[in-house]
Amino acid sequence: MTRPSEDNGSPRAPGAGERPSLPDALYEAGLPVDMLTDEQRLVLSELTEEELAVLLDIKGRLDAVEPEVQAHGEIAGGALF
Amino acid sequence: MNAPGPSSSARLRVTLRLLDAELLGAMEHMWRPDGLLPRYRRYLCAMHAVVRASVPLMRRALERAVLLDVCGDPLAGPLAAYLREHIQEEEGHDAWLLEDVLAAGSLPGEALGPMPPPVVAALAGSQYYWVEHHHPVALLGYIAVLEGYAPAADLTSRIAAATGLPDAALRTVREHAALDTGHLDELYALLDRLPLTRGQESDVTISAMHSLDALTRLFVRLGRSAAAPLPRGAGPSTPTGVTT
Repeated sequence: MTRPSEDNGSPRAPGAGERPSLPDALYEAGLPVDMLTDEQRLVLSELTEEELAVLLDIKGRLDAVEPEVQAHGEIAGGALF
Repeated sequence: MNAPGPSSSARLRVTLRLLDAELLGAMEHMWRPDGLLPRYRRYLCAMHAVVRASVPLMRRALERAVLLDVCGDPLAGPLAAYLREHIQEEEGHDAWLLEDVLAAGSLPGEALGPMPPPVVAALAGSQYYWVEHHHPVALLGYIAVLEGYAPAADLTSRIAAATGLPDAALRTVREHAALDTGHLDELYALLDRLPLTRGQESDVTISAMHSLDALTRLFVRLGRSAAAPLPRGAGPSTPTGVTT
C-alpha cells in the first residue's frame, strides 16, 4: 500500500483534476485505497468524523473474521428483510 | 459550474463496498454444500428472528415519521409514503419462513421458542433505538443492507441440490431473490430524492455500516458446523456450579 507523499493525515478539497486525498487512518487500516476509483476516493474523502470512526471500528472487527470465510468472488447472498 | 458530486445512494454503496468482503465470504461459507441441511434449518430460524422485526420496525418508523411530518420535518412525508407501501410488500414474510421451517423438517417452535441470539438483537434492536430516540430515516440504512445482500438468483437451486429439500422448504429464499432487486432500486431512488442533510445521510450510512457488521457476525455464526446441542444441564460445570 503506497501512501501519497503530500498526505498529512487530513483530507483536503481536491483542485481541478487532482485526486482527493484521504485520511491516513484509511491507509493504516489496510483498506485497498490505491485501487479505488476517483468517485470512491471522493466519497471517502468526504466521510464525516463519525462515519470514519465507525468504518474503521467495523473494519478492525471484520479483519478478525475466520480466514475460511473470506470471499472468493461468488455472491450467494442470503439476507432477508 | 462544478459537476454534481456522487448521489446519496452512490455514497452509501461505495462505503458499504469497503466493508462487505467478509459478509460475502461468510455467506458463501454458510452456503457450502457439505452439511448444508442443518445449517439451512438454523438459517431459517435465525432469519425468522430477523424478519419478524421487519414490519413492526417499519410500523414504528411510520408512526414516528407521521409525528415528525406534523412538525414540518421535510423528510417525514416521503419517508412515511415509502414505509406505508413497503409494509404492505413485506407483510407475512415471517409466516413464509415458518412454513419453510416445517417443510425443511423442523418445528416452528424451534424458530419461535428460543431467545434470538444477541447478534440478532444487535442487528434489529439498534434500529428500534434509532427510530425511537433519533430519527426514523436511520431505518433506511438497515433496509439497504438486508435488501442489498438478498439471496442470489441461483441460491434456491444450490440449496435444493445440496439438501434435497422440496420447493415448499425454499419459498422465502426464492421469493426474496426475485423481489429484493426491485426493492433495492426503490430504496436507492428514495435516498436520492429525499432532502437529506449531510448529517442525515450520515445517519443512514452509520446505520447501514452497523447493520452490515452485525449481519456479517450472524452469517459467520450460521456458517459454523452444527454441534449437537447438549441436553440442559449436561455440560461441564464451572467451579461455581454453572453449566457451560
